Amino acid sequence: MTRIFSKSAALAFLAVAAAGAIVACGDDSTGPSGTPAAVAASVTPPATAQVATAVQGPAVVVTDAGGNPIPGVEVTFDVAGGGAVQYPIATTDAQGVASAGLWQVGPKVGDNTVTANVDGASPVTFTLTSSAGPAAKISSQSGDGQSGAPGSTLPNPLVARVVDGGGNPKAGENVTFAVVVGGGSLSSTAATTNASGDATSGAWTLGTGQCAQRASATDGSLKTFFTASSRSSIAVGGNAAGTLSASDCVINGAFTDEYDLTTPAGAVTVSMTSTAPGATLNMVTADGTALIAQDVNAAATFRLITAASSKAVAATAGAGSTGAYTVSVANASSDVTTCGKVYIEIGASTNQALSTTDCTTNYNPASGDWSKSDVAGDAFLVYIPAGTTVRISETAQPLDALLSLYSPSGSLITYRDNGGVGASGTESITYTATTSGFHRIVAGSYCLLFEDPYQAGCDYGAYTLSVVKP
Amino acid sequence: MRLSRFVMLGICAAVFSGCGKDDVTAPSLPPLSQVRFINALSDTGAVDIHAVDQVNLSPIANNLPFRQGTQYFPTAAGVRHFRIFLTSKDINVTSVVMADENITLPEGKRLTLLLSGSARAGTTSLWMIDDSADPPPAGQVGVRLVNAGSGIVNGYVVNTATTPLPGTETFSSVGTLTFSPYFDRATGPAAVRVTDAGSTTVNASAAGPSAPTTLPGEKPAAGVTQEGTNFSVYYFSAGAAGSANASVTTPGLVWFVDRNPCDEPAVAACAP
Repeated sequence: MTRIFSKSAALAFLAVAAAGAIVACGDDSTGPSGTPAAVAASVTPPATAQVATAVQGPAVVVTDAGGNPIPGVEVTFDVAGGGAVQYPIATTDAQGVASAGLWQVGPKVGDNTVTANVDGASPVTFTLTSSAGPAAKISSQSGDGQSGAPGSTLPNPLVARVVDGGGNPKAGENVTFAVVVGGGSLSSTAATTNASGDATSGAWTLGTGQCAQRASATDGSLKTFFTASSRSSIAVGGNAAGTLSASDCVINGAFTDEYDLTTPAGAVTVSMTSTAPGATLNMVTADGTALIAQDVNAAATFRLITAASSKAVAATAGAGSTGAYTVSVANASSDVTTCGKVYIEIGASTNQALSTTDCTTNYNPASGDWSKSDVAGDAFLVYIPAGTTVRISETAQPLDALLSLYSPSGSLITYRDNGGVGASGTESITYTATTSGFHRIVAGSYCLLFEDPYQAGCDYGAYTLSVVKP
Repeated sequence: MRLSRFVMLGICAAVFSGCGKDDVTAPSLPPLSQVRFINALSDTGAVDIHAVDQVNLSPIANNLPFRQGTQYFPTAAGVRHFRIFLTSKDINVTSVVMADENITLPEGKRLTLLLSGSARAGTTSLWMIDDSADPPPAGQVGVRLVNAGSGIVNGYVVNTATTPLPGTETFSSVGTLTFSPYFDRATGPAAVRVTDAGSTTVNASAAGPSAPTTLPGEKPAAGVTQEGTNFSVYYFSAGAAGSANASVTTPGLVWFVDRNPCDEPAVAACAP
């Protein structure tokens, strides 16, 4: 066999092979290119921005002791001030740069910071000062809820506050004040908001009518209202007389006199006589929700189941008409036994009884056409503004309650008879009004649908009706 | 064969065999995080989100609609490369890259990548939110509010979706793409209601899910009735007019589970 390698060549080959093999056993990675020694800004965010907006966030470059950029270094971006960055953690690229992406500025006016942290190097902090965003809300700050005699000047001016969507005061906004109800005047109507977002009106001199007089503060499309009462009071058991005339407050085009009234829980009758054509009697709660709204036609009396609350009675003429009037309020029995209109206030609860003296109706909630049996029940009218949710409950023991609710137009909305024949307890309706208006509640008894209410053994008895905002 | 050749062969064999490791071969996993996607893109249809650097140990979203999220996926930590596409059967549509991002995923975290911005404006982007909070105290659940919608909002944690707003908000002034701290409360029915900051008009309400009933021996699942659960409640805008989400006409809230009761450290009921 021919000798191919000499001994020296073989040894050289062995040495090279061994070296190659040893090299081949080594790690494939190139190893760290350096230790982070410094972090510096690569991209600096803007120094100012509006709250709750997105701006370009910071980027940093990480270098070693020799100033060489280091790729592959993890950078943590810590945010203060209520904002956030797109990438709270980022890794440096081939140029040693890591970016936080976008920076969502916090919702409050003031300093926002992002701090870039790298192990082994001093952190770098970026600061942005945020300013208020666009005006988003105007509200009454002070001056609302004052009272004074008709024609008097109120002691305090009106102060309206303008804020952005985050509640930050908005300075430099032009606010316009105006009287909208009552016919009074303001000594100055234009103001600019200060650093607290406040704009202040001139003095408010009330009009000569007695009502809840109103003024507005407007900033562009934003508006708020102030109310000042020039009403006198009427007590339960008392009365008031006056004349509806052109010097009165004008509400919805009609001359109006209003009186404050505080009622206990129970029932009152409200009576009105008037010579004014088209006179109406209105009663509203402290927040303006209607309780009674009825034509008077010279003289009329209405009964209201009340909560203990403050409210107002208004005597109103027809549009443009005038005339004398008298309004009186008296305590009344709560028991509903006739077919007359009985109003009930949201928040009121009343103990009642079904008996043969009740108004009889001819309805069947299920089909609407039941005609074989008259049904005894008590009917109440409650004003429910659109969007308002109420819970109506009829608790009857041992009566088998049957509770129905009708719309302002008279159609059945729903009824409750969950217990079946002979079952007693509480029936409840929770309803959110879709239309503002007087809704009719009929509190009755199940057995009355199927049995002659005038026969002995029918399910008459006591019950409690309540109407509340849940 | 000459002796020197045997010697040379033996040396080579010994050298190469020295490269082998002595220990038993076992599968090894890279550092992991847990990653999910949530879609808050209100002006376009469902999306696909893919990691394009590797297939294994990557999160994925296919046909992910507005206001929905994926499960958490075990995901290789480190710098990861993601692309976002519109879901479509039309190759001309679905091949358009809506966003292309390299994101560093830290190890050992539970993370949400929130898809936000505007497809129409070309500002679609992923925002990283850290979900890996400590468990709530015994007998409690944690709830936080994430504003994936627009504006600055307040949040209220109440018993039901119709409970009147209390006087003080639970989460105050939460701006777009930011989130509140976790709020701990006793287990039981819970709902979140959201208003614009400074307003008492409710924009959206949603009750939290109750934990499903478990069979004897079964481990407890997440729910407002199960201690050890953390939730993020995401506030979303209405869908943009004229978009695929136009039928979504009001803002909304969606509850997402950040932490299950049996995640470490697990609650006592998870013990075997």
